[in-house]
Amino acid sequence: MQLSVQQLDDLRPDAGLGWRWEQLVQAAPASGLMQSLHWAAFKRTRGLRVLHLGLFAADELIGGALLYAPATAQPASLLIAPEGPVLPWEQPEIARAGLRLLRSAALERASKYAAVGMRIEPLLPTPRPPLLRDWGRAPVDLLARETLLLDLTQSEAELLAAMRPKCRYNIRLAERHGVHVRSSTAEHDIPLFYALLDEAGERDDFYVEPIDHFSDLLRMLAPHGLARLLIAEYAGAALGALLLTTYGQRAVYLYGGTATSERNKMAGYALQWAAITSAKAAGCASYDFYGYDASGNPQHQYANFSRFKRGFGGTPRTFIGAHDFYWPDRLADAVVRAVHALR
Amino acid sequence: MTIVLDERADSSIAVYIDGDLQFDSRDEGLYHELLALPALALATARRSARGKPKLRALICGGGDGLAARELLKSAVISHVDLVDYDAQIIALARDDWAAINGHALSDARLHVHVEDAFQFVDRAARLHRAYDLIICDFTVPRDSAGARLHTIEWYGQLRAILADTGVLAVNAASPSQTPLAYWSIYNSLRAAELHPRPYRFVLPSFTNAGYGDDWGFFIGAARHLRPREFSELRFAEPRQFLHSADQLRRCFCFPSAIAKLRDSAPPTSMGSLWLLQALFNPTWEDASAVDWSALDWSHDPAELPATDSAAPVLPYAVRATLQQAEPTVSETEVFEQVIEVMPALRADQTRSMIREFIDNPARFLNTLDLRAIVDALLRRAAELPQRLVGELRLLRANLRRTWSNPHSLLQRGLRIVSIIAIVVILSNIIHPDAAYGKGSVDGGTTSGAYQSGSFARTSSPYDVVAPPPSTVSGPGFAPSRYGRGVVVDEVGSYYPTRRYRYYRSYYGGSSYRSYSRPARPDDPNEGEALYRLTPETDLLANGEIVIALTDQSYLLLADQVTSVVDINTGLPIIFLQRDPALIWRTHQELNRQRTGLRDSVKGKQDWIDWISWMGFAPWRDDDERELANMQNTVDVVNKAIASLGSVPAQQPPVAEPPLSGSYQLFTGVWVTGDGSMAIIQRADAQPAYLDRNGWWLDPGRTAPISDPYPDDLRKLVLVPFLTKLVNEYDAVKKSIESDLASARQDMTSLQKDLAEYTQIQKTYGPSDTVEYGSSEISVSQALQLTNADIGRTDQLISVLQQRVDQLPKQHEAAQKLLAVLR
Repeated sequence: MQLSVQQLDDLRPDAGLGWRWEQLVQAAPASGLMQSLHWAAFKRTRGLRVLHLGLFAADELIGGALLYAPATAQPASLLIAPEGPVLPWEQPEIARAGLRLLRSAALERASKYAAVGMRIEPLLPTPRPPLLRDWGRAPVDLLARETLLLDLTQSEAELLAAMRPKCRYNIRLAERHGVHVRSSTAEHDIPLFYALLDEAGERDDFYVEPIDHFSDLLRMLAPHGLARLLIAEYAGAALGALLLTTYGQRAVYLYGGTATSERNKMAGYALQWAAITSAKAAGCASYDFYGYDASGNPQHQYANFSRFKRGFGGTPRTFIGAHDFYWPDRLADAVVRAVHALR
Repeated sequence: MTIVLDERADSSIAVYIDGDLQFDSRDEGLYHELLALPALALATARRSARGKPKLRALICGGGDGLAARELLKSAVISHVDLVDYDAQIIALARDDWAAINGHALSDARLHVHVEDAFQFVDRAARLHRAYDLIICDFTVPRDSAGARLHTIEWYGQLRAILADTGVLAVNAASPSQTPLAYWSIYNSLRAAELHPRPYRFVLPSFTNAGYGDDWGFFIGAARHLRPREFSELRFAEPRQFLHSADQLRRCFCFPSAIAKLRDSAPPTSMGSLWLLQALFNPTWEDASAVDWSALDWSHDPAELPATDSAAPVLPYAVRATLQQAEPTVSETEVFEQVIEVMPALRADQTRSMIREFIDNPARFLNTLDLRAIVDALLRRAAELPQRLVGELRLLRANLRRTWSNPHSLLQRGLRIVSIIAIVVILSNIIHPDAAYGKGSVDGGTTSGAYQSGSFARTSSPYDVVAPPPSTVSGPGFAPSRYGRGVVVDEVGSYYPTRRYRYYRSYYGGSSYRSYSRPARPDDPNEGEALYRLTPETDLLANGEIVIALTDQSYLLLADQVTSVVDINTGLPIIFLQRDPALIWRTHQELNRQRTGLRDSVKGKQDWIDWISWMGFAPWRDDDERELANMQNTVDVVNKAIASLGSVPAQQPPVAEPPLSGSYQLFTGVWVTGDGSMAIIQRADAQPAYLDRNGWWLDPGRTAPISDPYPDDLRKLVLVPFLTKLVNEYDAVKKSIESDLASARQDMTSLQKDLAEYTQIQKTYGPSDTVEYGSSEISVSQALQLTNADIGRTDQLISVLQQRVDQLPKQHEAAQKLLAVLR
């Protein structure tokens, strides 16, 4: 099979090659929203530069990658493809050749981005395929490598039946308490969502992106039906909020937080159940809890919220994580520049 | 530009631009009065002295119309040019915020220009326009485009259009939180000969948003502003916050420790990133002292530092540390110092976030093919200093002999390795998403097997190791939070509270001896935890110290005994012998946190005193309540210390097992080495040996205890506690075993490849091309790399196997005891 790579500029997701790209990404089990042109548009508003490479077999688009780079990069940067590249991983020989071509094409363009290497993070289950043997395990993962997936092809009754009894009870308890969950795509709800996320970040010790990250995300993705806020309210007060993304068959609970007070109202349970049913209604086949430790290790970074998520059932999944490939000559060049800066 | 509006129930609004708070309608008046009115009053006084009462003003930025509102209060203002590049802000100011800005944008004297301020000022300079008053009301820069509006070039252009008697006011930064950034702007103004004087105040909304305990402006002029000019200023009316010239003069007072830093903050020229890096890396100095006044001199005697003019290849702090390294200091220490100062490079990062991100620098080297990089660097040896070339050759020889262990590489004392690591770390940090990543890798390897950061708990859960006290930074003591269903810790973070029931009469004295469950009082006391001493240890409002054991039980520390209490009924389940080691540790921790809290109380008090002295304090009630809450917490800690009773003067030895080979589960409770019994060290110092069927005075189970069997202890405490313990151990073991399985799987695949490559080399020679991963390389290279992979994987397997073998033996005993007691 004759493969080639072309740079794809300014594609529109609803027409021509752009539409074909979106179809390809949505059908690729190892890819997701972060490889869509919509996400690329969102990232551009956040000041990132985007390099879109398409992999062709003859004239047919069969894969590629959306690679993100920071606007300014001193002394060096990486070209990063979260949830990518899009490749026929089930056909290792084509995937191997495709990946090699994508890497060369990225290297040809690397100087424009001051890139010294490339990072990929396909959602491939462990073990790592041999074709990534020359890629190094990255020092950090952008995505949740260990997660919990809920099969949304089940009926609501089946989903509830598969939950732990206490979780099911808490969903009903929240309802009895009068916790109401509303869906919103309005930007004016962002401060409310952010306050709850920030409160959870403070309590559970994780970093939260700045508020405009979320307003940009909602503004860029909500009009296409790809993101929405769910807000759990009780007696006029917001007790929890969640940002849900849906793309193709996959829904992801990307961000969320609950208030420290009124925990006995079980708003977190109401919120998750609303997100699950909402994702199901949107036609998604799986719901990703985005971060989960299946082992129950209390020292795991996901330990706190994994206990909560465990109640909902689902199947734990471990991906291979992010992998890096550094171009020796480009990295050497950055090192030489750094040495000169020290003189 | 992203604008976020937060419209609150009380009709106030907060406006965020690109994530930064632009203004909060509740206190923006303070900010804008202080930015605009002093400059307006000075310019008016200067013009009046020359018999020219009318003023022409320029506002750069400030598209919200709020600074304009202040200027337009004055009848002497004849013309205001407002230049802001954001049409969206202007539109909001014209319509939605008209009530807040007093319809400033509809005032005939105001002329709005939607364009880049730099271009506008450049044109004005070329046209020889002059302004009597210039207000720079830009948001704090987040990128190089914003930073250019604080360069010498920019201020030079402003000086060119500032009338001879004109006055300039500049919004800057927090002098206490980012002093170097604040003084860098100051020195750029000085370098442009605008003779600035610094002043500052407190803006509650900015403080709450984490922008600092103070906020700073500058006021300057082409002709020096004399201190006496500030004595009798007449400010435009109406005003809400700025009362008098005396009050304004207080704003010019700073802590001398902060003022001193102006010597080390360079003015910046176009292209410099110095200001941005200083803004992104706050240092949080104490804001409260007022022992230095910027009105005490006519000309600032401080030397003007040299200008910083170019974008750095390495961040300033990193470069400075590497350059200043003493030859006597080892390379490892230099590298550690560099990691310590590694700055945040983006507005949305923090230095602490970066430090956490690089908690294990070796992992950044793990991902590299070091041999290829060393070869690439040696190809450019002519461009490198001799010392580094020597190091590279040494490194190359080492890499040939063995596979690289990044950890040991960093410890070999080679500067070139440090620089490679720093460049790789920086290439990661610079990516906006990196520090928010949803996972991190602990010891990941190129073999594709993973370690999970597994742990094994080997000591008592109550061992407390905590950093030294620091002042409170979280909102947990704020009146809206404190005591309202949340528990607060020493830095002000708050968590959901736990509720505890208890009977006062059963502990704290000798009454436990006559305790009888049937004769209990009617209703238990119920208390919420108020203060979190450690993740397991809470203090109740009355100073009781409780340690969570299970969902159904907790430990209550008291002066004579330690009680295990049923969380639902409040009834004691059993009384345990006091463990002097636990009492000592708890006392140490209480003392340490009390010191930190007292410092926080003092810091808060000083700050309140300062803002009271400044005279802008409409929000002081909340601060005073917060201070009272902090003081109350100190009182609670005092009570807790008192409740401990006598505390050993020296650290007592760790408690000896009552029976050889037994393991401690928690204070006073042990499991025998064979897991057949629990040993309870009762309050009367008599150990009790307990299994499912009874309890005895001797390990041989021949002398039964006459008191009723403590079934609640078994049911509510031991079984749940052991279940949790066993589950945790199982989880740790499972996690390591899963990593081990993955590593072994990888090894099998590598061995298969090795056999194939060996066969190919034998048949077709060493230069035949094969696929290795996604690369095509010679079979000899593939063999070399595969052997290295096998070496790494083999080592990983041994490490993981060691971890499994080292899992504490008490696991088995706990598992057996659980089976016995269930």
